[in-house]
Amino acid sequence: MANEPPSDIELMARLGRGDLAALGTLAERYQSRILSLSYRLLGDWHRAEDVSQETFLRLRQAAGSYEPQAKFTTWLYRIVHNLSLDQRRKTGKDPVSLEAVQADAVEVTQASPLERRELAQAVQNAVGELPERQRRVIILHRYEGLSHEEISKVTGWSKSAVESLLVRAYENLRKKLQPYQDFSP
Amino acid sequence: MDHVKDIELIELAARRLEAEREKAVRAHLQDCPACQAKWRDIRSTWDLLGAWQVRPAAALDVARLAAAQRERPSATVLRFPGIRVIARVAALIAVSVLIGYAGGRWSIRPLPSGTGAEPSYVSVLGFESGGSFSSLVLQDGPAAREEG
Repeated sequence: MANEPPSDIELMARLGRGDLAALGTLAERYQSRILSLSYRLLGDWHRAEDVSQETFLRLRQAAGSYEPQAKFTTWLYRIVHNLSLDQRRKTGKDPVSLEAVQADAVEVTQASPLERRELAQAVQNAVGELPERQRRVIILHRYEGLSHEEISKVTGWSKSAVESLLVRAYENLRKKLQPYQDFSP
Repeated sequence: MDHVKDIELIELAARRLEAEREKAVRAHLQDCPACQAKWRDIRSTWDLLGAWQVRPAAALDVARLAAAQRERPSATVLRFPGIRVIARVAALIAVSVLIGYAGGRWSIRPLPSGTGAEPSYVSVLGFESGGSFSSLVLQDGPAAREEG
């Protein structure tokens, strides 16, 4: 079992003892997800990178006293969520505007026909225009794959509130994306 | 079976329903045009949302991160307190002053004249003329000396 990769909890313990390599391993594991989540929440790469860096700084600070009470990723997402919320408070509460949308932020995985890029942009805009709470639960549910319970722990909202927000969010998105319903992504 | 709830259709699209429940929901969908229509909408929306992908992150520079943490001031950051904090502190001070003032007034109130009653802390000493102590003390003041 020597080749088994270290668990997140083990890495946090190592980090608590000052082993910076453990931070590197955690970064390899989660940086992409952290950056994607904060970008989707903030709509801005620079601020998303700030949140990402701040998240790892917080991890390092907390490592010495870290006691796993919940799933590591839930705890991590909670940090990212709260830091992103702080960022939005600092810079105003406007939803992600069209101006904030950056063309290079949309990755087109296959050959990039115009329709595909247009659809990706339309989806980003539609999500960005949702009311704040609906936007957050959609991002955590659809893009981060979190369960209702996990979303509840990350946001601090009740599970029933999360489910209600999800239903309304998907319904709103259905309406907003109506022109693309026949488009197969 | 009742109609399937929207949240369950969402979970079905996300493939996160428990196997047993998924089987029951799919069986219901076979026979319920209303739920089928809803399911088509939700699945379509779910698939469309998948078009928004973001680029993967660059690797974290751990050395830079460590440097950033060293540069971060460890001292407590002083922040100007909010108006609510100031109001609470002011109210606390005002209440303390009022209590102190009222307590002071109460402690120096004169004894009822003509009763001859001694304060309890004096009577427990067993003196017969404890009530006259204060006048003796007062007589020992500068005015008394001048008179003498």
